[in-house]
Amino acid sequence: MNGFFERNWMYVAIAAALALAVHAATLVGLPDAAMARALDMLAADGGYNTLTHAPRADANSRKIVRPSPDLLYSACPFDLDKAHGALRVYARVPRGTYWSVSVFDAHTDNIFVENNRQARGGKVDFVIVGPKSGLIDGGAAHAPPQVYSPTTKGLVLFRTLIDDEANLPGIDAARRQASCGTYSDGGM
Amino acid sequence: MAISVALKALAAAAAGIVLGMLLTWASVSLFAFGTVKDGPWRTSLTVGSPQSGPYLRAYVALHGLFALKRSEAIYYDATHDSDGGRLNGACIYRVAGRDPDAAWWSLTAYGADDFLIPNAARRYSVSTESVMRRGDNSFVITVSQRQGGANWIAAGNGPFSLTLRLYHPGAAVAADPAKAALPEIRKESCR
Repeated sequence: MNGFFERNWMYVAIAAALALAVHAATLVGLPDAAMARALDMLAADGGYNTLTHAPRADANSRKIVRPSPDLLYSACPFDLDKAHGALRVYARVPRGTYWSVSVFDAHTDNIFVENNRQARGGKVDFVIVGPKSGLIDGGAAHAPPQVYSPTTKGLVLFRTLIDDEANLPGIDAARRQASCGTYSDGGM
Repeated sequence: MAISVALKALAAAAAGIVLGMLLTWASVSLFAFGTVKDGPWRTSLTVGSPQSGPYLRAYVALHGLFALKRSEAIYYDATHDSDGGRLNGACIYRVAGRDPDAAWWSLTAYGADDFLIPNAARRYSVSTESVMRRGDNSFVITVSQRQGGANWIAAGNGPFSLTLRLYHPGAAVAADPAKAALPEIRKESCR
């Protein structure tokens, strides 16, 4: 065995160096690749910067791994380049059940979340800005707060808990009041 | 001679690439670096946050994309029962305990492909709202291929896993998820 390494140390070194390089590259590239694939799959439904409301998850739901069948998901894959640098997100919070809106960047990091307990006045209203636009001039004092995304692409995800099967039609109708679209001139 | 050297170099390069990919798979899927254990349950302390590091980020990308931060939700995964046996649809399991400290929780079964397990009854999960509790507020959930009563989650044919979701976890759980009081998973019998 030792003789093998002595005779082939150079090839062993090449294999070891390449193994470490491939390990590092795949480890770092995996989240971005998984996120890019997921965003494209979600955008296939309605395009980027558009909110789509997924049906309740079941065994036929194959886009995102480990979905919860007890939540209703609404997703807005965003591309700030296509939104002129800023995206506005608005929703009224359904009453009496768990609800949240979260923002993920292209590295899979959860950069913002607000839930039904935190939302003031029963609504959320914010603008996502990115590395190219930076924080924008909000103009009027009542302009919505800004969330900075370190990547131009990402996802806005709404989760609404189905707290009671009987409430499902009402919860489904309520989540459809939310919106996600290009922010321009201080409005949608 | 030159051909022999070139072939050896090529073989070394191929071996290096395969080894590198195997190393990534093993570190992410087999050893789940960056997670902590609580009985049969495994969770992460930094999932969803920029501090999660490359190993945990890769793990989440493969097994739990769009996971929320710990302050909002904690996700406990189990691929083995409380005695260390791999969860398998050939066996019947009893998940027994009391409500975890959270505003809302749910227990869901997933196949080896990380998707919900097809079953005619559409019994994918049991939650705060749907679980039937005993007089002392404890519960027993059956996870099996065959119908198992009111608190039943369908398992598939082969290996499967469970996810316990805690939304708005209590302060103590959020502070130290590895010490939360969670249900145990006991194997009852196998085919």
